[in-house]
Amino acid sequence: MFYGTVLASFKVMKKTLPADSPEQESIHQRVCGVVDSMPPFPQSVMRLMEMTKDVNCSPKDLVSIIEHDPVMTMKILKLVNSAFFGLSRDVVSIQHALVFLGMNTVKNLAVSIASIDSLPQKSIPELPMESFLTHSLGTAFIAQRLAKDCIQLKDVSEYFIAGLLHGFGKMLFVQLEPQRYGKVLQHVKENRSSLPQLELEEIGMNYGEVGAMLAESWQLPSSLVDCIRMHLFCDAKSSDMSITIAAASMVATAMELGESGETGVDEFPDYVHQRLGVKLEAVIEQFHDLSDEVQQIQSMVGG
Amino acid sequence: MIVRFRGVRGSIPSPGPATVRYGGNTTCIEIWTDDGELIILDAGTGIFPLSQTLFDKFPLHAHIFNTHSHWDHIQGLPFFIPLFVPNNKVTIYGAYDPITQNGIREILTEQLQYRFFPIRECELNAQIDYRSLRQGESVQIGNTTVTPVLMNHPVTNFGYRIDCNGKSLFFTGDHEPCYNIYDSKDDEFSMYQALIDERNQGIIDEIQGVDLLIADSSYTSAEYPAKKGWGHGTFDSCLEMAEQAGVKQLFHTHHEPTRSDDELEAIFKEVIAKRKYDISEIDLAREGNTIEW
Repeated sequence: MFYGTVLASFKVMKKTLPADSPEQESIHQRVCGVVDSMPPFPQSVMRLMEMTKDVNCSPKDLVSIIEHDPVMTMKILKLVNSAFFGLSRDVVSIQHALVFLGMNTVKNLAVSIASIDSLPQKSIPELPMESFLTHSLGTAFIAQRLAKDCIQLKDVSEYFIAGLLHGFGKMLFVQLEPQRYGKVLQHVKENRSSLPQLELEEIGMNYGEVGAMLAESWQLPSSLVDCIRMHLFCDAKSSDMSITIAAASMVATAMELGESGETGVDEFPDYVHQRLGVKLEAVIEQFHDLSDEVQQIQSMVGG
Repeated sequence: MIVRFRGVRGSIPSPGPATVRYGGNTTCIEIWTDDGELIILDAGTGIFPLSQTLFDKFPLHAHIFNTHSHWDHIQGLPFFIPLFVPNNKVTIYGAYDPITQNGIREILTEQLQYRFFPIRECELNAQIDYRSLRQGESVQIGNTTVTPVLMNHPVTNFGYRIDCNGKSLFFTGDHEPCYNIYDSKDDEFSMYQALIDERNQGIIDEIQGVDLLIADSSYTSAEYPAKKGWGHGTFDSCLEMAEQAGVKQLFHTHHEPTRSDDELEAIFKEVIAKRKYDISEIDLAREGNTIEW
């Protein structure tokens, strides 16, 4: 009943509610409430607990565990960007959070996030959570490589995080209404239709919008919020980050790295090709050389 | 402005013949502003002897700024005598703790649990106010501005910059300069180094040009590798910080509890003999020492 109410609210909001209405406020609270009690992935918890038995555990390893788990990442970015710290600039990566909060605080935050067990993480056969995580990680790795190679960026950590979190809205839909979302995913698979379009028709919002709504209410950096929302609607004017994440997600889907729940494409749209100067086929070919990295991803989520 | 060291020892009180010259009390700094306001930086055990000098100033308003909630910076708080006397006002400022999700108020509440202390919080007669601060959120006390600056320690630690009528000081609380967690051969090394450089520079900017810097110099550079990540600075890191920030006078504090006065002086002598620093005055903080300007 609760989930039904939330989703009914989504529909109402999308069609009739003004952006700052009390009803929308309530939807924010409900979505945030679900995420607050959402545990991270069990593999991350196991690795984290094993690692933190050693009081002198390596900060590098800690960063690696956290930034491979969308739930931990989202929650730590939420905290460090919150008004409590009042930092003068956006914190866009776990390394950046570590520089401000310090190793011990980040470690203890991760441990406290890891010990949440109030709500079991739901998984559905149409989009098993481990497959979703593999897709998210694959997108993150590919996005940071594309940013480095095609946009010539030096600090690509924000692109990694954007890749990791771009589909967080799907996780929310699975948690909020697993059966209904399962049917949406099934329909997309059978008819090779557009997932965001069907989400909009059936649920009233697409996964980009619900993920962005959460990121926005958690005061995550606006570049990240925009990317989560807009990577589904790219055109020639879109930001580098939105286009890169959209492209990386297409590559990960085409390479069948986990499952995205979306229909794959045979070629990049023109705007991706023009901005990044590469073709889908070429990127896939390039990433065949990265089999070690991909294997590493698989083994991480495989426990 | 008058600044007086009431406690300069780190970690745990260290009384005894070997520490009698520099003192064994933990961190507490007494400050009287030009317009007569009392600001106290940290409530280590040094706050107890300070409180015994305040009787003739009752009723008073004391502003206690806590850098962080580790024992050596709060242990004297329940023994701050003005708390027990009606008509006094005490305002306690400090950081919010993201792990326990507690504000500054909970420090005293926890300390005054009946099991640990015979007087309960509700029995304190002074008016006590609490204010959890955010990074950069300045507090105005008369003509004086106090600005919290997020430093680097295992728990959230604010350094405080105090500005009054063109005079200024900065106290780091406990602070270890940020360091690179990656090896120079790692891909992430230069990216992380850029973040650290920006972060360390941000701290230097906040300290820039103060008359007086009081800084956590727990270790020697030789001791540091075994203590890396513990959240404390070295004599050398503080000298560099002072030089970069163009401060006039530097006091090293948070002396190691196991360090005797003789050892402390020998280390200090050796450190400043290594090279010439562009700092007018460099000294060791000593309990009871007063700086007035």
